[in-house]
Amino acid sequence: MTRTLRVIALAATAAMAGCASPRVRHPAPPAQRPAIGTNAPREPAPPPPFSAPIAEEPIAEPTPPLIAPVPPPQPATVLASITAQTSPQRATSIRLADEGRRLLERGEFPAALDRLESAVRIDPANPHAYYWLARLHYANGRSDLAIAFADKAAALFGRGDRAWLSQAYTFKASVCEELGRFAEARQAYDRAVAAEPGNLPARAGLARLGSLESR
Amino acid sequence: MRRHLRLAAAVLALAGLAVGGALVWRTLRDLDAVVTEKFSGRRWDFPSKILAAATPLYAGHDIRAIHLDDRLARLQYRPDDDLSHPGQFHRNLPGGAIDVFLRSFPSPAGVQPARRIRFELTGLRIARIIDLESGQELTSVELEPELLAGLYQDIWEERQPVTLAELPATLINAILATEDQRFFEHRGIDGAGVLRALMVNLSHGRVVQGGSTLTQQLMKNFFLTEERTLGRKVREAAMALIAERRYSKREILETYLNEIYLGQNGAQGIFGVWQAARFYFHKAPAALSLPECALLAGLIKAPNRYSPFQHPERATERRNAVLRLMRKNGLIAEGDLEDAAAEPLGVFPPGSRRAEASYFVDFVRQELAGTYPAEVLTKDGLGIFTSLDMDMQVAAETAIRNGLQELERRYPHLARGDRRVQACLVAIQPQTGEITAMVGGRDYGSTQFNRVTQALRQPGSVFKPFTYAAALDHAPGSGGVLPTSRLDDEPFTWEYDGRTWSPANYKNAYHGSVTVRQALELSLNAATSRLAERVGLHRIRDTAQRMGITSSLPLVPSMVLGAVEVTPFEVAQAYSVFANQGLRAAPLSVRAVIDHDGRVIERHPMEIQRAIRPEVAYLVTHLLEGVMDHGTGAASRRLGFSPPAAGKTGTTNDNRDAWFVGFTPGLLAVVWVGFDESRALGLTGAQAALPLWTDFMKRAAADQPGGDFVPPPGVTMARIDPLTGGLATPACGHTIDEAFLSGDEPTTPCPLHAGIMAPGTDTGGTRPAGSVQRDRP
Repeated sequence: MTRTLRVIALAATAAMAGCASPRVRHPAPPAQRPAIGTNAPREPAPPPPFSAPIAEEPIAEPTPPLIAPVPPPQPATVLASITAQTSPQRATSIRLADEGRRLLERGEFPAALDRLESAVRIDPANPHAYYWLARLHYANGRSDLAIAFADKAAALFGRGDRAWLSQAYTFKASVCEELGRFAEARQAYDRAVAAEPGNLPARAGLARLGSLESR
Repeated sequence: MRRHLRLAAAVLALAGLAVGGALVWRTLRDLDAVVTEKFSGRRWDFPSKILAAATPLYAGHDIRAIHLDDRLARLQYRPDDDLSHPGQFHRNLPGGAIDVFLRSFPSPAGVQPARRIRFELTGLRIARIIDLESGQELTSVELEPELLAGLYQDIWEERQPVTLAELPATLINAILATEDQRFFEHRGIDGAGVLRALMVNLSHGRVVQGGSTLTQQLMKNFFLTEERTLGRKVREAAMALIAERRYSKREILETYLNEIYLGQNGAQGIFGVWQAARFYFHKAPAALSLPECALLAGLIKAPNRYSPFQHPERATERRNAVLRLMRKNGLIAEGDLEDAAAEPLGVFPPGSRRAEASYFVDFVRQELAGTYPAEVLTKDGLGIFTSLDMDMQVAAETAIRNGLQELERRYPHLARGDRRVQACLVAIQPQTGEITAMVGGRDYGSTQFNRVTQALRQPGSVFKPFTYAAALDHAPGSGGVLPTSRLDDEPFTWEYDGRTWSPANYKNAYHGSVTVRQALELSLNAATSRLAERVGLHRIRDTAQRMGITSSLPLVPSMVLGAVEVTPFEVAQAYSVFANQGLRAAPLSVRAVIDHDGRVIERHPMEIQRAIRPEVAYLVTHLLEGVMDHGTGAASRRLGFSPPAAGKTGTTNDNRDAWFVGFTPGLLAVVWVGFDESRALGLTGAQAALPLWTDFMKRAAADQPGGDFVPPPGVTMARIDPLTGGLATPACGHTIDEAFLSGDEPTTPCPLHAGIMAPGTDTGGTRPAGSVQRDRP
């Protein structure tokens, strides 16, 4: 049952973490969880059956404010970021990475790989090329490479683009979680939320890993 | 009695005839098998080709910086206003645009189609790339890769087989008129032709005309040696007869036109009319003009004697003789003869290759030998797509050549003796692991020993960053080593395993209390050794090995100062981890291998794995930037290299080895200088290796995207006073931007200057509050 819930949880995370096509493998969705910040009052726990001292009721923590969910960043915004000031290498790399993304979504993996690697060669500092390489390698069954490329993408997104940084960490986290690498997954979800507090899939991932830990 | 003798003689004669006939029959049968096997099986061996990386062209490229004109010439593109065939280009269009009819070529990404494209220019930069057929704007296009080397057994036969249907009638007519006018009439041997040749030769008093048919020539080329004996002529004639019985005239003619030798391009022999058309005229045969066909036909007799490059007058005479022969045979009109004979030769001189890359080719050969037998490599025509960047290779070869000459001029002791000072250089793109340039020594012709991959040398101070990487790798806020931590740069003794080791600084100069940053920037042995003792040899070795040092590292203190033996290639791989956010990319020289039909046999995608934390990689990189800006590598700035870069000098104690390793965000290069026989060089890494590195990087980095090293998440930058490590205040005289693991950064102002007003503030001075002095010049 636990494993089933975990698989379902992963799938939902991936579905919300970005582009997904029927032909692109992505982690399994999460289970249904109560929304964060519910206002429902908590019922006090019944006293234990033995004559042990009854523990004092803990003071209820204030309900955190409702976090406004933020949708994942859209690939189209990346192309739109090209301006006259963008270096030719970066502009070309962005366009090639976008071509690679579209080929990946169509399941044309060799052509996608070619475009994305060309994007890296032309501008090794373009984080989007690495992000889509991570997605491609995951779809190809190379989770180890997917994690490494997601790491690379995150390192390059840095502070510049928090939405995409959060996206990269969420993806990395979900792959780690699928592999049972929970400590890495937790750290990556943490960083995803730190970069973008409204990242619900990342929050759900943290909650899920927390509930796993408590069992 | 006499009757018996006559009977015996008759029997003997019959027996002799029978034996002779049997021998002849057997010989003919053997010859028949040979001819059949050659015609029916694979007719030619195709050498595999080692290719440089294809050149991507995209908007923003400076066509002068990428040597577009030179590239097109080396790839045998010819200027032609018509742009009617692949392999042509057209300049001088309105607005300065260049139209190119790109050739189709096989690539790891599939066969690239032939297509007409336009480079719209703004000044010398590509503004847009347009597909002229569809009108679509293209992100980038690739020119086919340049040939580095062929893999062949005895002779490099370069040919591209074609069918008769692909050849113009003019070319076929020219060749038949010249070599075998009665080809379609004889049965392999032309008796009338032999007689005619005999008459002509007798009248000239020497051999001016051969009597061999085209079929006989083909048999000679296919099977037989160059010996000029009666026996060989008889075998040649017999095989010609057999071939004519078994195969059609079309088959024989087609095979002949693909077989014939038509010239030389360096080590490459030009075989077949397709290859000859491409080599001499940069055209496909279908596009050849009448005079061009006549020139090729005239070459068959003696390609080197009639070479249009070496002997243009002779080539012109020969061409015109062929034209006259065609006129005499009624193949062309008188007017055509006059026009064609007046044409210039129109050949394109073969360009010399820009770079030899011999060491790199050897390296690739060795890599391939592990997978492919020699027979496959030399006969199956594989396409080996490598990572070598031709421009960078040229830059590397130039830097080594010029740099060593300059060193020998400046330090004459290097040129004494019969063994000359050596150097090597390897460049890789850290993010992909691709080797973009490799020079294994100053002269491949003298020695093929590849110092990049085979020379085990002591790295000296180049090894130090591994100690710093291990030291800086800790949980933030745990009290670990920081870039601002203090070290004693004083003489000290390290006790281990009952022994002692006392490292000494360069020229015995000690600096007292220094920061970690200063210790690395100034490459201080004592301070570094103290740090290493604190970190522990096991951690340092583990760090170095995770990063790519594969040679044995003995766990002794001198290891931290580089008293070990490693290759420049290992050093390049290990340092690339710093440049690549702690990720180690698998080294790559062969991107893909395709077969003769263009199918991908193997493909090597980028492979990366985590070696050290990205935060630690950035901290060390940031320290090494200081080496470049005001440490032992600062001479590179004075020599004119200005982009953001990080690096480390290396000099061994006995001055036998001089190193420099340096990288920008997108390119890393290692240079080593020294003597092979390990005698003292007498120069430091900054004196000997750094100038060569700088020269290379100035040329190679011209096409790089540029930009700074990016701090990853988990790193916090803080403006500090390096004297105290506290946050900079307006009163601090000298401040720097320092990198810390997030949680380690200082939170309190510099204790020396906190609360002190900045100079000139009261009198409305020139420095506004909060301003800082920039560290980088």
